[in-house]
Amino acid sequence: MKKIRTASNPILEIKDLVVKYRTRTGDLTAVRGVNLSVEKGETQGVVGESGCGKSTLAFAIMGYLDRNGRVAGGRILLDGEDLTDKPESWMRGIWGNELNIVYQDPSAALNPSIKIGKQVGEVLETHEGLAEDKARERTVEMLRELQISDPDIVVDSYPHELSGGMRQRVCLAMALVSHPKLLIMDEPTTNLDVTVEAKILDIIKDLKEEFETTIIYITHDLGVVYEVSDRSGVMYAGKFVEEGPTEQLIDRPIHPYTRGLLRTVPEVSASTRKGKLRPIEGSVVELGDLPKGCKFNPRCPYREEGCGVSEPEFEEVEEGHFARCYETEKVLAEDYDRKSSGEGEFYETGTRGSGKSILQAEKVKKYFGEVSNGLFSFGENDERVRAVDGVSFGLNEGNTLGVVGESGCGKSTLARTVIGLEEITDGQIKLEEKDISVPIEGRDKEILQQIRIVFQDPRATLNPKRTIKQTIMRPIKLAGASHEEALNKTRELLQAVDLGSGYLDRHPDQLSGGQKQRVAIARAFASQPELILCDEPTSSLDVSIQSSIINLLLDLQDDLDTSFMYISHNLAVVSYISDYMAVMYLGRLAEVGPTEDILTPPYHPYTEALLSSISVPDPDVDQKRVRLSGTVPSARNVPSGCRFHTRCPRKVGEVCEKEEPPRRVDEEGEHIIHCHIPIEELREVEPVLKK
Amino acid sequence: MENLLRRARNTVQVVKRLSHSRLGLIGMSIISLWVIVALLGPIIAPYSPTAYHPQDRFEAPSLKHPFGTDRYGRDTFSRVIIGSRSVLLLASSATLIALILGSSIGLITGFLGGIVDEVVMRFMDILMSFPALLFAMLILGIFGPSTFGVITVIGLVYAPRIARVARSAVLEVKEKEFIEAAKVRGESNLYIMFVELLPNIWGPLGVEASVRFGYAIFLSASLGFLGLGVQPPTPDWGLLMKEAQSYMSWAPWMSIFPALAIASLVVAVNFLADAIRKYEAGEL
Repeated sequence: MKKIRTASNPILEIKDLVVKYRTRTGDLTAVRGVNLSVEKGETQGVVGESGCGKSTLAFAIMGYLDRNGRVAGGRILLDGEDLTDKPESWMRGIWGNELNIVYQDPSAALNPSIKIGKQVGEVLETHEGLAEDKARERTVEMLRELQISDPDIVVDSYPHELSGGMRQRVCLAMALVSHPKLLIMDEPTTNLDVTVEAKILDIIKDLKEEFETTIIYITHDLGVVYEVSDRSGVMYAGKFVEEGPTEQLIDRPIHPYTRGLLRTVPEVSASTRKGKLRPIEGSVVELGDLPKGCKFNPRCPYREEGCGVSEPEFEEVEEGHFARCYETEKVLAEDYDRKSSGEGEFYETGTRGSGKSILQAEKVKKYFGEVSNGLFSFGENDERVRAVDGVSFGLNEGNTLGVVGESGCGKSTLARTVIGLEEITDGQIKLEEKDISVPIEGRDKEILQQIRIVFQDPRATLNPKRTIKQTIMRPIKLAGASHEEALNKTRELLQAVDLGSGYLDRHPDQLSGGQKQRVAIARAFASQPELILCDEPTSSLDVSIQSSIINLLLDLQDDLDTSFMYISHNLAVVSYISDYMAVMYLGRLAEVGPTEDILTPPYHPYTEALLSSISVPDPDVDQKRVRLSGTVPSARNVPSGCRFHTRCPRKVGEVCEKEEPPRRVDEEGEHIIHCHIPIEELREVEPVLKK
Repeated sequence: MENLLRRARNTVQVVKRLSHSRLGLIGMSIISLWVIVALLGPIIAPYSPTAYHPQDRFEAPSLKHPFGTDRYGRDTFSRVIIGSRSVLLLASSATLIALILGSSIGLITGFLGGIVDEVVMRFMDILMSFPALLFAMLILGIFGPSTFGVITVIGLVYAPRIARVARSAVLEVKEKEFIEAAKVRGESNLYIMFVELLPNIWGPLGVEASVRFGYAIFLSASLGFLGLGVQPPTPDWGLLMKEAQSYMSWAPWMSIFPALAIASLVVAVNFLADAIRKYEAGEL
């Protein structure tokens, strides 16, 4: 049986690659024997969760390993030339020329003090000896190739003058301009908004056809891999566990890990009945503490006794489709059910809670900055940032309102204004009929206890110097409990978030990201609040952990009838967790209503574009293509009329530029769309996602 | 009790780490040596530091007087040993005052921001714009020299520098979400500053304090040399230098040994400070 695929015309061949890092506690093997062969002009996806070794693999190929890292075995052949024994001086000759990389963070990859034209042109001047004007010409051409409008202006701009999506396109231009033999992309769209990501992925797809570039595309997002790559490999604990043609791998995954991963991404579904998500058991293995045998066996639902003895070989299961598993027959005998939510324990959106109103927001505004009435300013010169500009909504007990939108649309500011971290500029917020339109300092103790927030960054959410016990007990004691009571309650809460009393005396640095977020959730629930604001609580976590955190939130909500305001850029997550959804654009609500109504026509054109931008790793789903031009305009200088008119693919005409869109209510009365197009017309729009 | 034990274990861990750097190890050894010498003082000093031996005046170093004697026949070796007490006491209490004062000011200005921050920090800038020695001389000149005065003055001189470090550390930490979580549950500003913030800025404060300790030794010796510090006949390294000044040409041992003592301690403290900085940066 074949052990690895041998490409007929390989640009890159990696053989038994082992990469180790020297650490205080000894050597850590991050890549434990990777074999890979990439055909010329092919795009190879590499997928995995954090710590699986995918970035280390990229750095090893580039020769960019940290000082404590080294290639401890194996070979990396680029067009037949072994890179592992080459000195840096030799590598310098191919960096930026034959071998190139695009990083996650474009602002760190570009020199802030050099103009774009110079930075991109430099590659050509150094490697191809082009004169400056020729290099500039080629640069402009390349920028145009990447669908950058006004490339003549962009070449003379500095990186900070461009948006994140534009910067990443410049990075791509820089990487492609010298027609490299191999281009590595390390999560190039992870930091971008979905609408921008969708466009960049389109560009990558076009370019790889046109330039026949060989690409290694590294990402944690299976949907993205499904969009761009020809073949894909799934990494786990420093090795590939499955590798094959992308279509096949997504359609008929073989390895239990791949099957689990594909399921952890909640699907966007308009159904009101939702089952629990099905996370992968346990958490990603520590490289310093690998289990015996198959590295996935402690988390595997198909585990048999033999799995824990020795590590399985990488074998061809179907033609060109490899997997590292002993139980492939057993796995394949079972039809793959890709639904993210399982049977049993359903909850039904829209029917939860008592119907009592918890939160009422009326025309909430939050502006930053001052109106400048300078001596020399003529007329009104209002340059305030209109982060939230007249948002109204309501939320009932035990319900969840999901807020989605691109970055800069004001969704976090809205949450911070509700909780009082920001002072409201205008409008009114009521919590159970009590007016709370004042910042924290002006709120009394009872109200403070009623609202809590769960933040995004698990590293910053807990005080590193305080123990878990201190962290969770504090809010309970503030509510007036005795030490004994507080301690008992803390134990209960830890139990409720699946951590147990063993964690009481630990410090945050002894916890994983997911565990920290669990503690943050326990802390939020500690004062038994009516309302919890969740500000992207799972966005920094791996997908397999994300689904268990969401399950946890839903369980606690079910037990305690807490209301959630759930903010995320991830439409799939929000649509799964929310009874009601609000789609925000540039400080305003574009659309608000019951989740199932938001996800089906009539859509606001912005919602339609958002739905069309998400990457769905499911061959059965047919997705309509709508792309937005440009990025969210500045909130300092908002467009007149409908704020979305500058990007709207369904713009009616002048009326959109001149007049505020009317508030249109769907016949059932709960679904509100702010658009100049009549609801009846929007209802005729073809659905974006079809099974 | 358990807490104390854990603290002790942590301290041992930190010391172990610091000794991974060779300079850190040398620094710590020299400092420990001086601390032991200061603690044992009279036990290891062969003579009383203030006892006159008129028959042994200006004697060169010998077995009897390893560092020689001064114009009254006092044993320089014993005077250097006992002198370590005042320098360590002065410098460490002064640093402690600077640390307490500086970190409180930095915490308050950094956390509150706004007009308080502007006013207080500009005042700190004014204080810092005076050369340290000149400022200390000015104050001691007005209030008259005394041990207590030296400690207070050195503390005052270095507090603004520590305040500045504390403030910038606070500015970074106060943006963290756990601080917002504390605000959201209605904690008082004092609680947030001293319970949530302070423990998180010990690192940079420790580095700055160790550097300031080195400067404080120097400043206290300088003030002693100028006659504004510890008063005779108490032995003090700066004072020893001052007394030796006039006899430099025929009794150089009188100044060489106190000078070496000062130098060794200052250099050792700087070695340690460097190791602490590396430890905080995660390089050790």
